This record gives sequence, structure tokens and C-alpha cells, in this order.
Amino acid sequence: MSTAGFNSQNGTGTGQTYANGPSQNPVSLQQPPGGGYGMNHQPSYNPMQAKAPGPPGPGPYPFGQYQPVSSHQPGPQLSSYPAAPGQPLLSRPPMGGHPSYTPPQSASPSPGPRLPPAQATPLPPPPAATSTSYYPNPPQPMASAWQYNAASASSMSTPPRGPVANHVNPAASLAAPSPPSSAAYSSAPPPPPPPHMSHSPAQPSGPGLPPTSMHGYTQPGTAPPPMNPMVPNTYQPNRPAYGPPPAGPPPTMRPTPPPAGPPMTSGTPPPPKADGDVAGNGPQAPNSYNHVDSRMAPPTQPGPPGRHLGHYPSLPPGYQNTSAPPAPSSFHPAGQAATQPYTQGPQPYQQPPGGPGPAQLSSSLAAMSLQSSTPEALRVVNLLQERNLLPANPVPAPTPCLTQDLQKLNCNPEVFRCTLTSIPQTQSLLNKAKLPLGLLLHPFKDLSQLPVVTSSTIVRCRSCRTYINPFVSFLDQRRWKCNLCYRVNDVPEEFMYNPVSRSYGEPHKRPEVQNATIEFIAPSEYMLRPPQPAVYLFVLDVSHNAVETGYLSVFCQSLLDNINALPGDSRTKVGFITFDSTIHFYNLQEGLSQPQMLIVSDIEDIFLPTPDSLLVNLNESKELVQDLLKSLPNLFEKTMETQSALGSALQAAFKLLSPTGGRMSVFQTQLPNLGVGALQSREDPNQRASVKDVQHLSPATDFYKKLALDCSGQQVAVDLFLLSSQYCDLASLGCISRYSAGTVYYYPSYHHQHNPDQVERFQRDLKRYLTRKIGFEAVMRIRCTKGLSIHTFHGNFFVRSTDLLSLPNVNPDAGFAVQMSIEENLDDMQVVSFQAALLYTSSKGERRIRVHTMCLPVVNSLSDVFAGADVQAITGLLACMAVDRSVTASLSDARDAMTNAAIDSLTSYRQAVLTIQQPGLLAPACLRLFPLYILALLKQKAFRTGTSTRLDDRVFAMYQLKYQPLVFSMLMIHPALYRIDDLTDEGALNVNDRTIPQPRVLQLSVEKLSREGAFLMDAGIVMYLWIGRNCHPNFLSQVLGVPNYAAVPEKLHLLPELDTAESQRTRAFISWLRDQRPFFPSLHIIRDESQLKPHFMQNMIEDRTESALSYYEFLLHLQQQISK
Amino acid sequence: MAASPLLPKGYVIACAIGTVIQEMSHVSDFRMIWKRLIDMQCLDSNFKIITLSDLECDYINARACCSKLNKWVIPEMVGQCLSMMLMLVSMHWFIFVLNMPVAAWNIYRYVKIPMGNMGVFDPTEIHNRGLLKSYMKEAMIKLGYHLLCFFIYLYSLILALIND
Repeated sequence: MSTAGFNSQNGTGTGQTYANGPSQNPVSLQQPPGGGYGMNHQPSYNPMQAKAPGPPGPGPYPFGQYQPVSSHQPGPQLSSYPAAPGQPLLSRPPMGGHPSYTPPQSASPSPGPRLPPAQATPLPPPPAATSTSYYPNPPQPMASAWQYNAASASSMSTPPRGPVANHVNPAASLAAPSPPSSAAYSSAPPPPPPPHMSHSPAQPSGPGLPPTSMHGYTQPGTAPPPMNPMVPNTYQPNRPAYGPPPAGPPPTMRPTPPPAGPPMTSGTPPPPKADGDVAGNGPQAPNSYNHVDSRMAPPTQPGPPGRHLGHYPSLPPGYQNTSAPPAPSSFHPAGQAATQPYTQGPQPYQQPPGGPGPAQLSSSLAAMSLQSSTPEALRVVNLLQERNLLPANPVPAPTPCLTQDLQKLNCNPEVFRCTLTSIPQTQSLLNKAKLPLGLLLHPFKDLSQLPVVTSSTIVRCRSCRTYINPFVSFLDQRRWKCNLCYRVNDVPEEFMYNPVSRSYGEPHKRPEVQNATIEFIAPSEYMLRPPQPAVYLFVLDVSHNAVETGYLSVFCQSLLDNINALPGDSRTKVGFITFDSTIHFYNLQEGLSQPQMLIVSDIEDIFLPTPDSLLVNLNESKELVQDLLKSLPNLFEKTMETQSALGSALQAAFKLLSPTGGRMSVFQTQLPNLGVGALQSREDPNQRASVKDVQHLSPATDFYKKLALDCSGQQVAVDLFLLSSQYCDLASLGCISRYSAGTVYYYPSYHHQHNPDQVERFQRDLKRYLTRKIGFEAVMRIRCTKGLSIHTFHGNFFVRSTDLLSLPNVNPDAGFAVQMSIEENLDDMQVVSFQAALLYTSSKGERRIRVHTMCLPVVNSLSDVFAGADVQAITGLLACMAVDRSVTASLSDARDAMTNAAIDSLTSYRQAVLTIQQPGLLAPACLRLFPLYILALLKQKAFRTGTSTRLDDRVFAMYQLKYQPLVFSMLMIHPALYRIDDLTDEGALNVNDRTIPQPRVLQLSVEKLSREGAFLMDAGIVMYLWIGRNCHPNFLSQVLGVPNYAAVPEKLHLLPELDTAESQRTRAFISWLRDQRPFFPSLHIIRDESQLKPHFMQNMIEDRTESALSYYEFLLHLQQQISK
Repeated sequence: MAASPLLPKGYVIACAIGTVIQEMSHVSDFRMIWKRLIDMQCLDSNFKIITLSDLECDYINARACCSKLNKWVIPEMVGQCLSMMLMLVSMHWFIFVLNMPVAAWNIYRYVKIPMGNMGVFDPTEIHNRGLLKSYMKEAMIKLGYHLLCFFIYLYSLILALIND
């Protein structure tokens, strides 16, 4: 899905100038490839592909000689008969209501909220937020909301006046306080830099509104929607670079040590005066402290132990005794004082109100005199004491500590993210940190703005084949040094000309060197064969079971609706195969009066009855295809065939597709039980809730894997839609998609009548699936700087050789992860780079290369490594690793490994970074959510034990964790909870003239629920709207359209479209959430007695369940292990 | 290029097994066969190393590599067990003991293949979790072991010939 952040770029127009400027450079920034661009290029391709725009019949296939046979010689097993009686043949009117063609480039199924430019761009808050407090400050939700609102209101009314100026700051750092920006934010005239000890002058409000409330809130609370938290911070700064070249030196130089002053970035010590400002301040004290009630007393002394424990209502009674010693808040001030020399940052938050005591004073003086301080990311957090760790809005990606020039050019963290934004220098340092090192990628993400470059030579390093990128260094005009292997290369003559500025001799200003994400139109050297056409084959289960579910009509209708929106060109081909115990092919050759069905019952030795007329050119046979789609649901209405020969159908489909490659979409509703690839039910329903090890997570047969590899070799990807109510052995079936770079969609208990929400989900997903962008015959190579090596890959693909991922199809919704190790010490490097290059054939038959490059600093101290930890990426990578572990070893191993990951890293932090020990469970601020996420993983469907979980559900959850891009998998790991009965327009986003309220994210604890409210839990593929028993009647009537609580229907999946402000707000919010993801989360409205309530409650991660620890207990467990 | 040692090796196995049974009693010939078998196993390790490093250097793809290697898993295992048995029969205890761990390891590897995997070497796994490296290491160790065996057998062959 395109992101708001990216979209917001559109309006600024900076990209436009770049797009249209160069005449020589047919760059299409926003044009769909099908636009002028694709047309321009088509002819140039045609000569190469002699057979490409093939005639309908033989087409590009070499077996036209079979044609005469096929028409009249069906063979013994073939019977052919008219598809359906009474079809209006050849008289189908043109498709009426097909939706507007969605350009594949940004194919999003829904019009989607596009952020107007004014939204995301003027973000003065982030720098302020990053500067002082990373935290949501629960005590001041209103205050911050107010402030935030003011900010966004002003931003709404005025176009971004100084986006560049503002962007400088977001890019600056996560941790470095930058007073000027906060001043700018509060719209006071820029004050002189605040003196060390006095508080920032731009804060008119008293202690009730301490500056941190603003700081703390704005960072997460800025325009970015929950899914794209990091965009404004990092990618935007990129944009201004398009129009005018950056003012500073071109980013091509090797990074010199960061310049002093505000632009300096996070890992390095922030400017002294800023932290003096922080360190010396008392009034901020209450913020990081506990929630609701601390609001009225800004300078609170941390309460007595009992009070803290009071915040854990889920604790069993006997628990409080045990918990008291580990979290003695009476130790607190002393403990804080003790750590002060190391943690100047946090001190003010937890200081007693009496102003700085001698210890604090001396330490802050020490801090000033040392002119250094701990970055915010390293602020020590005692997890046992600080309860409200969750930021009010989605957690942003940390910003690597790079010089501003580099950071401005760096890749968008949504596309490319590293678990450690500061790469340790040696493997031993990495081992010490006990954090996984890896990359998370979303390389084919729909981008609304993507520079596309056409040139006859693509400049690459001669030895490592790295594409030229913003992080290479130009030694002089004629030579550049590769940033991955350090080889010096020549700049080709052609590259000297800069089409953007139309000037000569400025290679460092070429778009390739100005954009970390760029797409090249590949010349013919990048083709092994002429680019393949878009080929879609649908393999449909039509057994009795399948017909019962009623999916066929939904599918046919969806395809009919979207048949013109299928990405492709004039060569696009489609084909259909249906199967039960036999395989049915459909002859759709142009000229037939109606589709012909050919039945092959020899499933042991499958063959294609008429090889050349089963896959037909969509344009030429469109009417036949439409006829077929209309008649299919009726054709099998009365079938009594219960068996399913999926294996043979897949083999047949593979045979059909192997000459061209393409996409195979398989719809399956039951366990395949006939012929090759037949499977047995392996699930024992009684073991679903067992706490013992879960068996059968690995495939039962290698048939599907082998077939997937065959498919992969022939550039065929298999997408599996599993719609079943019974066990289908997804662990085995899923292999077919997993290794052929397909996707698994799973609709448990799909039924057209009993499960309308699944039907809607299926419809929406199909629409997106059919119309989204697609890349064929793709390969992806991930390169990293010499010294780093990739050793494990996660995602759906086949690793063909050490760093080459074979992706028969690539789709915009696929995420990847890799793990890395440090093979050689990175001693003399300041930065390392990673480059992911994805070579694919677009649906228009163009060979394209999308290149993403990310640059990260190298650090040599453990504290810097910790400071750069990206907790979400770490969690995502750990989840992938745990999935692997549970398949290769066992689930309990995987669970232990995850717990150990948290224990080890926190132990290492405690031992190696903190020099003075203090009681409590200490974590750096950047990792403060780590234990929570680990606990969430342990309670996730994929890894939970003790709760009844169907095997297929579990396996599907595992697939999703590995396959989803990080933003979505994080929602599946740790759902977001919002209170939505009191939505207001304060702080709301404004997207496409719709006002999207932005409620804050609540902790996943029943304590946050109240009977008076209504709460929305967004768990990725499903949303629950929980209505409290005493929910305000206003909400019930205005939003749900029912008079009282009792009248809320039992099964409700839709919010009625009422013409009230509340209803509009709620619906706007929910649809905004939905629009941000490529799949369609179904909404369940639940009451206390609903069947789904347990599902809702299981997501209350911080609470105790019968089989799992509460968050607090888990923390105690960690602490116990750490102090061992 | 790695295929060249293959054919002779397969041939050697076949004749070795055939002749071994015929000439069990004849010590010197028996040892000769031994030497051949060991030769073969050295070659096998060699072949493995070559194939794996081909994969490492990106000369062949994982699928081809694994199918090549998997082809030889069973012959290797059988050969190893056979030689062990022959040693047991001919009561060469030292060599028997020397052979045992390797044979046991081979059997263990074979038995432990997960159901969904395509043999000991699985193309989808081989690039993950440093498996390639561990296979390489294993092949190296086996090569060392077979070289050791080679010289031991060579020595005892010569000894036997001299004694004859």
C-alpha cells in the first residue's frame, strides 16, 4: 500500500520538477508504466521478442503443431461439451462497472487516503519530540493533544512554509535535543539558544503542561498514520533534494566525522547545552511516571511500592509480596542518583520534586563539564517501575546516527530497515550485545514517487556489481569508489551528463546518486529471454466441499469485475483449470462460440489435452473468458464429487505455465486426498490446547516443495487461497507458495452464508490481489559492504545462490528478512551500506531494476550498539527466527529462544553498559518495549501454547510473520487498542477531505477497558470493536444505530452508515486503518457475551491468562534470570 | 567439472562390492579392495567439497548442488557400513572401531531427515543458518578421516604384500 508519508510528497511538487525536467530522461515519477512511458518503450522491446505479441493460438509457444489435433481429438479421457447452456455467446456487452484501471505502479485497491501535502510535511514537532522525551506522557494526554492539535491545525491551514528547514531537524536525530526546532514548533519567534540551566523559554505553560508533554507527544503523534510512523522523519528530507540539489556538499563524499552542532546525530553526544537543559530540569519529573492519577501532581515522588503494584490489577493475590523486593521504589531516588553519571538524560524525569539534590546537581554539572550525555535511546528505564511504556502513537523507526547529508539520502525505513541502526564493528561486539543483526525489507512496496531512470548503461561497480548509489564517493570527476567493495571505478562518459540540471560534469548530481530508491529500465543485457507476458492461471477447486462454501461465485464475480484491471498489456494471457477428482481444462481459443471443457481423468499421468488453447490472450478471448466466468458457478452446482486431486492439478498447471512462467492462483477448500501429493490429516484436535510440543509444523511430504522449486525454475509463482473449515495441512500445502515466492491467503471456515465477514475479506483481498502491481521473473540480490555477510533468509522465495533470491513473481505486499553476521572486522569504516536490487519484468513487459540502498554507521562501543537498536525490527526478525526454530527444532525451543533473547540482551546491557548496578529490570529506552514484544510473541497465535489453536491457524500465523512487511507483522504481534467512543477531531488527520481522528494507542490490558467505553482493537487481519456494557447510549445510537446495549446484534460486521458526526468519525478512522494495508481486516463488533470475546481477550497481552504470564510476571521472570 | 570423478567412483563401488564378496577370504586382495573403497570415499569427500564450494561461489544453483550431493548419500552410507561390516567379519578391530563413528554419523544423518525435506541436503535450507558452512566443515573432516584411512590401509596392504 502506498503510504501516507510518501503520498504526502506528491503535493510538494519537488519531485515533479525532477520528473519532467529532463528531456533526455524519460523519467516517469508518477506515471504508471502503462502511461506514456510504457507505450514509448514497447516498440523497442518488440524487435527483441520475436514471438512476443503472439497470435492468439500458437502464440509464443513452440507447440503450435498440436493445434489441429486439439480441436477434434479429445482422446479417450477427454470429453468436451458446451460449458453452460443458455449463455449469451459472443454477445456480451462490454464490461459495465469495472473499476477504473488502477495503475500498477501504485495499485492500491481502494482510492485510499492520500495525505495532502500539508499534512505530513510541516512537522515541527518530531524534532522536539525526539529531543527530550521519547515517551508518551500519559499524564498529559489532553494537554498534548491540545498542543498537537494546534500544530496540525496550523499546518493544515498553511502550506508548508519551510519544509526544508523543518526536515533538517527530523533527520537530525532521535536523541539530540534541538531547541530551535521546539521553539519553531511552538510558533514563538526563534529564541536564542536556551541557557544551560534554565528551561526552554518557549514554554509558556506551567508545570501542568511541562515541555515534555509536548515533546513526548509530538514525536509519535505527528501526521504519520500508525502504519507509517517513520516516514516523515527520514524519507521526507529526501525529497527536497530532488528539486534543487542539496545545499551542502554532494553526498558523495565519504562521511566525515559529523559536524558539530545541531545537525549532529543521535549516537554521538548531543550538543552540551541541550542536554544541560534537559538534565537540569525539574518540572519534567512527572512525565515518564505513572499514568492517570499522576496527572494532577506534576512533581510527584514516585509512590510507595504498593502503589506501583496497584497498577497491575491482573496480578494474582499472592504475587504482590514477591514483587515488592525487585521493584522497591523506595530505592528509586537513590538508585537514580547512583546511575546519574551514566544517565543524565533520564534523571529529570524521576527526580523528586525538591529540585535537584546534591547528587543530581553534581552529576548534571559533571555532564556539562564533560560536554557529553547519554542519548535518549540509552536512557535507563526500570521496566518494573515504569508502566506506561507504549507511546501514544505508533513507535517510529529509530534514525541512524549519520551525518545529515547521508541521512537525508538514506532509504526509507519502511523499505529497508536494520535491526541495529548502528552496526557493531566486530562480530565479538555483536555477540556481546546479544541482539540479532539483520535487515527487514519491503522492496516492492507501492511507492507513489519513484524516480525511474532510463539509460543505456547502468553504472555498476566492476567487481561487486553494486549499482551506483548515493553513498559512493567520487574521487574526482572521473572516478568513483564503490561503497561496498571499495573498488575504484570509472565514471562512464554518459554518466557525466546530468539530465536533471542538463549540465555536464556533475556526476554526483545524477538522480542515481541522489536517490536511495531508484528504478532503472534495464537494457537487454538484463534479459535471459524476451520479457515474458503477464500470464495468469487460475486453478479452482470445484469439489462438493468447494461448491458448498460458495466461493466460486465470489471469485468469478471478482474476476469479472476486475478483468480489465488485471495488470498486463496486449499480450496478457489467462487460463483456467478446475479440479475435483479429475482435472478440467477450458479451451478458450478465439473463434470458439463458447468455452469448451476438457476433462482429463488420468490424474496419475497428467497431460495437457490442447496445449496451445488453454492459455489464451485475454484481449482476444475476453468474451469467452467472461462467458466461462459467468457459467462456472452453475456448472458445478450439483457436483457430488468429494475428492480433491490438488497435486495433479498443480502439475497440470505447472505444465501449462512452464513455457512462459507466470502466476498460478490456486483455490483449495479441503485436504487433497487423491493422486500425487495426497495428504492425511495430522492434527489431533485434542492436542490443540496442549502445553506440550506442537507436532506437525513441518511439511508431511516433499512433493509440494519439489513442485515449488520446479515452478521457481520456470518462473511460475503459486498463490494459495485456502478456504476451508477443516484441517488442510497448510504446513505441507504452504510449501508450494513459500518456495515459489507466492502468497498464502487463508480464510478459515469460509462460507458464503455463515461467515459474511470472511466473504467480504475474501472479496476485498481478491480485488487487491487481482489488481495490484506484479513483477514477473524477478530476482533479488542483497549486497552488503565487504565484511558483512548474509547467512539466513526469511520470506517466500527460493535462495538460488548465496545472495540471489529467485522470485518468480514479486508483489508489493511481500516482505523479506535476512540475518547477517560480521565476517571481517569493520575497523576502518565509518559507515556500511546495504543494497537490495530487484530485477523484474513489469506487467507491461519491461525489464526493470529497483534498487534500494541503505547506509548505516559503524560503532565500536556496546552502548552505541544498544543506542541504535530498533526494537520493532528486532522483534520482527526474532519472530522469523523463531518460526524457523519451531519448524526445525520445536515450538518450546523457539519460545525459550525468544525469552532468552530478551534475557541475554538485557543482561548484556546491564553488565556491559551500566557500570553501577541498581535493582530493577533495567533496559535502555530504545529497548524498553522489547520484553513486551517478546511476551506478545509468546502469546501470538504462532507460538502460544496452552490456548486452543488450530494447527492451520498456527502455521498460517507463522507464514504471516515471515512474509508480512514489518509494519503489518508488528500489528499481528502487538495489536493496537484505541478507545473510540470519544473520538474527537482534535489532532485529527485530514486526508482527502476526510477527517481522520487519531485516538491514542492504549496498552493491551483489561485495566484500560472500561464498561463505559467502546474500544477498537486492531490486530492486523482482524479488528474487534468491543462495546462496554454501560457504553454511552450516545455512541450506541449515533454509531451503531441501536437504542441500547442489549440491542447490539450478536454478529455485526459492519458499522451502519449513519449521518452523524460520531458515526462518520468512527467509520473514517476504521476505513483509514484498513486503507493502509494491502489486506482487508474484517471487523467484529463484540459484546461481553459474544463468542469472539475470548479472541479479543487473548490479545490482551499484558494480562495474565491461564497458561501465560502477565507482563509484570514476565518482567519478574526476566529479572530473576538476569540477576542469576 | 565435478562430474569427472563421479563415474569411476560409481564403477569402483560396483566392482568393489562384487569382488569383496568373492574374495573375502583372500587377505591381500581384500585389502586391495579396501584401498579402493577408501580411495573412493576420499573421492567422495573431494567431490562434496568441490560441489559445495561451487555452490558457495555461485557456479551452480542450490537445486543442482543438492540433487548431486543427495545422489551420493545412500551409496556413501552403504559403502561405509559395508566396510565396517567387512572389518568386523575379518576381525580387524581397530579399523572397525575407526569406521564405526563415521558410519553411525552417516546413518544418523539419513534417519534424521525431516519428512518435508528433499534429502540430507535440502536446496531450500542449504543457504540458511550457515548450513552450507557446516556441510563444508563436515566434508573437510571426512576428507581428513578418509585420508587417514587411506594411509592406514595402504600401510597394511603393503605389509600384507610383504608378508605374502
